[in-house]
Formats: sequence, structure tokens, C-alpha cells
Amino acid sequence: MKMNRFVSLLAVVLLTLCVAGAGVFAEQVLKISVGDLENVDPMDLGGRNSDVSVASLVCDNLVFLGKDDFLPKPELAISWEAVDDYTWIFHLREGVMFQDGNAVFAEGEARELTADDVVYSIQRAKEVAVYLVLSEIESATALDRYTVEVKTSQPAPFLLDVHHLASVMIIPHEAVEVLGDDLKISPVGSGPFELQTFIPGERAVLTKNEDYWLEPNLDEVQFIVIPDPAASIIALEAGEVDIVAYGPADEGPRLLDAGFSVAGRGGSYRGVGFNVTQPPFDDYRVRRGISLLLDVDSIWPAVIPADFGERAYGQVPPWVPMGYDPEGLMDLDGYDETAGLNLLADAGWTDSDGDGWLDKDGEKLSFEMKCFGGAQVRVFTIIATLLQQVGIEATVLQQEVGVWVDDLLAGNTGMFFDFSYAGTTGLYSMFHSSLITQSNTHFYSNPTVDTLLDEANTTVNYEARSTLWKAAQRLIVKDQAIIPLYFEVVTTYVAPYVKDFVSEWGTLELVSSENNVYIEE
Amino acid sequence: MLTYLVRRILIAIPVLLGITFITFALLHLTPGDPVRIMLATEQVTPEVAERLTEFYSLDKPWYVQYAKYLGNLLRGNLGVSITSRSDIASSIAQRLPNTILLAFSSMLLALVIAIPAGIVSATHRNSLLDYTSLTAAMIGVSMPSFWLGLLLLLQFGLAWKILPIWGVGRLSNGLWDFISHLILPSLTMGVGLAALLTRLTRASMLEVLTQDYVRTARAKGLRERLVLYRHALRNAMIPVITAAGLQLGYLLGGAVIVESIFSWPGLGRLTIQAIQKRDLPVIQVSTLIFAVCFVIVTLLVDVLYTFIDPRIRYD
Repeated sequence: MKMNRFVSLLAVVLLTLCVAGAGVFAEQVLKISVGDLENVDPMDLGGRNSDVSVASLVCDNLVFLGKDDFLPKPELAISWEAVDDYTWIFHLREGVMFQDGNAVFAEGEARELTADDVVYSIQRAKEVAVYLVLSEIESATALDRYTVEVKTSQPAPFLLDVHHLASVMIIPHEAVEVLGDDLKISPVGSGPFELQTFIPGERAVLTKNEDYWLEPNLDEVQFIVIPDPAASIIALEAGEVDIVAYGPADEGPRLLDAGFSVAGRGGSYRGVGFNVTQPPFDDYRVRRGISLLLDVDSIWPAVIPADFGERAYGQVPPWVPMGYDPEGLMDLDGYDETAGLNLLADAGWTDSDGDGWLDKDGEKLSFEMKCFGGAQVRVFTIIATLLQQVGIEATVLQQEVGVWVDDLLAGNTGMFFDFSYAGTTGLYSMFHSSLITQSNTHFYSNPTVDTLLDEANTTVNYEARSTLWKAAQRLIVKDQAIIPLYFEVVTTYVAPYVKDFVSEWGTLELVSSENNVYIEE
Repeated sequence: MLTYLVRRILIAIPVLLGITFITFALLHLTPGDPVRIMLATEQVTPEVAERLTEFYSLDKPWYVQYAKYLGNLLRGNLGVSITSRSDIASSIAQRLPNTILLAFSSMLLALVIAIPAGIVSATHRNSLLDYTSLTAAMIGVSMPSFWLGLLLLLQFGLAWKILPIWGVGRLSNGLWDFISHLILPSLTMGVGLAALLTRLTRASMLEVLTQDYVRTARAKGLRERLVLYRHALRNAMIPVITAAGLQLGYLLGGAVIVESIFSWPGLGRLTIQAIQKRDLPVIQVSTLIFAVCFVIVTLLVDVLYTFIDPRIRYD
């Protein structure tokens, strides 16, 4: 009897130890659902977020953008300085090794990443990375084993921004020579994770780089392609994935209630845009009048959940702190129906025949508001209804995206849904007069704004550049080329047991000086 | 027969050439190009847009672009995707087997359901069995695949957790892994097809069963089973096979909704994404593959006729 008790006790103890052991030593595997995976050549990533995420775990960049302030933080470069307006010096981290046990470097035969690799990567990116803006870089030189000098042809304040030098991933020249086209599916770098499997359109599996200069908490990261938004949410709820990148905003409130969190960072600007050369919007009073007729504070929360957006007062979003300026723009915003109608009356638009519609010279104030499919249709439907209530015959025209773009660039659209990812230099692209018919779809031309933007583009000093950028934005909003509505935040849903996750911005950082993702048992 | 096959294959060449031209012309008449879309939605800067336009010759006249495309095609170079910059040939090579697998498994499932159901329906006309089969077929035809797919996903993947909810299974992971991944997408696609083919089998069988040779067979005292399966069914199968062949052709073009819901990496999703982004090289190649599949399937159906009905000869 005693013997039986002893055996039972021993069994219980062993079982407890096993369970506890399993808890301690369980593999830390993170599964991320993404829309697609196509090509992870670090030099050829374009704007494909999922591919960028995979490649940025395999390769390191000189810097990454901070999780709270979006400013460059040390990664391979431990420090840097602009010696003058044209010369930047980067001091590299010592002892960083490329990954081994792959087609490029056999197990135990990897070498150290040096300044020559940085120079090689910058030069190669300049040649082949068509999606990056590197034309400002004139030369890159290795001053010694751990120091790189970058010279620019003009002052380049955005050098360390997304799509510029900050987006250049550092690879060994051997990877290009050995892998050739296979670089698209099996890149090698010095990042925290090594790519084990990459099947385009299906999945990518990465395992911890044991030799990384920081100790990653995760043992394995899997990217799983689930293109259907509803299916990706089902997978999240079923525990098949831990994170859904770029999930549907509509599911947000329900998922938050269920304990999931949202780790959105960055997103896009949404607003009403005018082609300021097309009647009746060529008249400032009409644009301003319409703006005053819209109660934006009531419109935008009706379209997206409050946790997934933010009221916009200008085009530059919070994740571009250099130009984000709600305080400086708030006074230009306002909802005043009487003032709006008065302005329209000043422009000649009144209800002269008492039929309930504003008219001028026998013609009704009537226009189409053009957009393409998505939440914007709801926004415009609300706006059209509000305008119709005050006698403006506004109708929504939903177009196929290609038709919408062609109409917009050809100047056939008067009022449109202003849609942009609002990158750092977005204000320049959207409003500089040299880009009319290209990315300046507002056909907006203001010499003062051009001068401010040109000056900002060559001002390396952050504070001075910020002042110029904000001044340009204020003029644009004051000219009412746009009616800012809201910033839509990227909705990345995260399971409650995933800790320290920071959504991507430029690159995906699962292991950095600011975070180190882990799974809570 | 061989002469006929050679003739058909030779005819297919101008057909395919015509398709490349029509696709090219239609794409160039369609508003928007990929770079302009990226530019207007601020996914690329004007500097990058200019470089991309030049790189992909989008600024060249359409006939120059077409000649370049055709020249590359004849050299076996399918080109590079504008948006993903990946090699189109390898993208297609990765996805085509998945599409073929899903298309054939869905068709097989549909035929396994439809032919017996159609026969039973026809031989038990206006009975409870017939009405049940008709009602089921009506529901099957009316049910949108996105709804059925999500429903199956919720039930089998989320609630019961007995079937995988995403991706393609691999034989290297065992037979069950391979089959289990195939069940839900095949079922989603097969149900609608089965409904359609059930209705067609029933109608065709009913028509054949009233023919003189069936009456003669019965008058000769042949067993009903023999009359049904040897005399009636073979003749009734001609329209069913024609329809099934056409449907298979469509399936080989990819099933966008089912592929998206079940994360099935097939041609349909690739093509639709390319159309949305105006990825011209990918659209051109996908359309060509789609056309080739159709040509092959219709040829196979024609050949199959000769086995089902020996009276049909192409010599």
C-alpha cells in the first residue's frame, strides 16, 4: 500500500515537473497572417508590406524608426552625424556576423559585416532598387572597417527616412553572387531571424539567428498568407495565427471586446480633395463654403471605429512628427452652416427660384464627388447627404480605381476622395506645382508653398525643416485645397498572449533596442 | 484521329495569338496603368514613377510594347511582374499545379454527386427522391461560394477544429495533410457544380429514356439496370461532359473567391490581383494560360466523345 502511494506521489511530482518544464522550454513561435508574399529580395521590395516585413527580419538596416517618435534609431549604425549639409558619417556596430548555415555561408563560416558591405549595399540599391529614392546619394565610401561616409549631391534631410537610405537593407556581396535570382526567395543578411522556407503566395518560416547581437525571445516566426480578411480573423480566433496584419477595421470593436489588441502604427490620410482649377471649385469661396457646411467631427466617427482613426486637421499625419501640427491648424477648421451658405452666396450661389437648390445664372450648384470602392463610399454618401440638405446637388460617383486615377490626373475630377499613405514627403508630392498631372492631383499651385517646400527639402536641421513644412501645410489648408477628415490607422490585430509587439513602419522590428517580442505562456 | 488532333493544335496557334492581341488591346484601352495608380495613391514618389514607366516601356506606343511582349513570349520569356518584380514564369509554375489540383478535385466531387443524383432523379421522376434532389440542386446553385466557404470555415475550422482552414497540404506531410486541406475548398466549389450537373444529368437522362432505342431495349427484355447504364446513360452523358468540360475550363482559370477564403495559392488570385493593380505582364500571361487550358480541355472533351459514343468519328 505504502509502495503504491510512493509510486503515485512520484508520478505526480514527475508529471508536475514535465508540465512546468514544458511551460519553461516551450518553443516561442509567432504566426503572422499576411495578405500575400511575393518576392523578398532585400533590394527589390517596392511597397509590398509583407515582403518588407520578412526581409527586414532577415536583414539589418543602418537604422530603424522608433516605435513612439518615428525617428531613426541605431541598428547597424550605432551613431551618425551630418558633418556638413552634404556629408554624413555612419559608425557601425562591431562584431555583427552574417547568418551562416545557408547557401552563401556554410555553418561556422560566416564573416563579419563591415563598412564595405554597407557601401556595396548602397551602391547596389542605387542600381537595382527602383522603388527607393536614392538619387540624392552621390557616393558611399568605407573610411575604415566600421565607418562609412555618405555624400549627397544636395542637402538631403530625408536621407534617414522610409524609402530613402533607411530602407536600404545590408546584404553581403556573396549573396548576390551565389544566389542570383534565388535572392528573391532565400535572402541572407545579418538580421535576428534566418529564412528557412519561403513559398510565394503561401508562407515563410524563419528561425532565430543564434548569433544575433541581441538575443531574440522568439524561436520561430511564420508568415502565413490568408488573403481573405474574414478568413484571417477566423484564423486569429481559432488560434491558427497570433497576429493579423492589415486586418479589417470593421472587426475592431468585437476583437477588442474579445481581448485582442490593436497594434496599428502608421496608416493613411483621408480627406476631401479639390481640383482647384475646375469650376466651381476654382473659387476659394465655394471650397471654403463647402468646408464650413461639413461637421467633420460627426462624419468621421460614423465611418470608422474611434480606436482606429484620428481626426485630421491637415494632410501630415501623427507618424510624420516633422509636419504633424493639429494645434497650428485647428483654427482653420470649423463647422458653421450660416457662414458657409453666406460664402456661397458671396460667390453667387443662392436659391434664387425657391426650389430648394442653390443656383447661379440659372444653373444649379451640382457636382459629382468621385471615389473608388471602400469605406470612402460611406464617407462621401454622408457628405453628399449633408450637402443636399442645404441645397447643393452633390452626388457620389464610385469609380474603378484605374478610371478614378485617370480622371484625376487628366483634371476631369472637381471634388474627390483624397487618399494617400501620407509618407514623410507626401505634402511635397501632393501639392508642389512641379508635380501637377503627376501626384499633385489638386492642380494646386502656390509659389509661396513651392518655395517653402523646396527650402524644406534641402534643410537638414530638423527644427527648421519642421517649421517650413508646417508653414506650407497651413497655407495649403488655408487655401482649402483639401478638407482634412481623418487619419486611418493600420489595424494589426494581436492575440493577448503576444507581448511587446510593435507594428511595422518602414521595417518590422520584432527584436530591437526598443522591443523584443515574446509569447506569454 | 491523329490528323484531327494535329489540325486542332495548329488551329489553336492563331487562336492563342489572337487572344494575346485582344488582351493587349483591351488592356491598353482600359483606363489607368499600374504606375499611375501607385502614383495617385502615393505609394511611390514621382521620381520612382518616372523610373518605373521607363523601365517597363509604359511610355512607348502600344505596338512597340506588343512587339516586345510577343518577341519575349516566343523566346519563352514571360517577363517580370510590375508590382512584385518576381519572375512570372515561376509564379505561374508555383500556382498552376494548385489550380489544376483544386479544379480536378472539385470536378471529381461534383461528378460523383451529380451523376448518381441525376440518374436517381430521372428514374424516379416526380417522386420524393426527385423533389429532394431538385431542392438540393436549387440550394446548391443559389448558394454563393463566399458564403458557403466562410460557413464551412467557421464550422469545421473554428467550431469543430477538425479541418485546416488555410493553405495547401503536402504529400510529404502525409496523405491526410494533403487530403484534409483539399476538402473544404473542393466542397465549396464542387457543391455549385454538382447542383448544375445534377440538373443537366436529370434532363438529359429524361430525354434519352423516351428514345426509341431505350424502348426497344426494354421490349427485348433487358434488365432495367442494363438499359439504364449501357444504353441510356452513355448517350445522356454527351451534354453533361460538354458542360463539365466547359466548367473545368473555367475552374482552370482559377477560382478567386475560394482561393482567397481558403488561402489557396492558385492562378485566380494572382490574376485578380494583377487586374486590380493593372500588372499588365501578369494579366497577359494569365489570360494566355487560361486560353491554353480552355483549348486543351475542349480538345480533350472532343476526344472523349469518341469513347462515349463510338459513332462519333473525326477521320
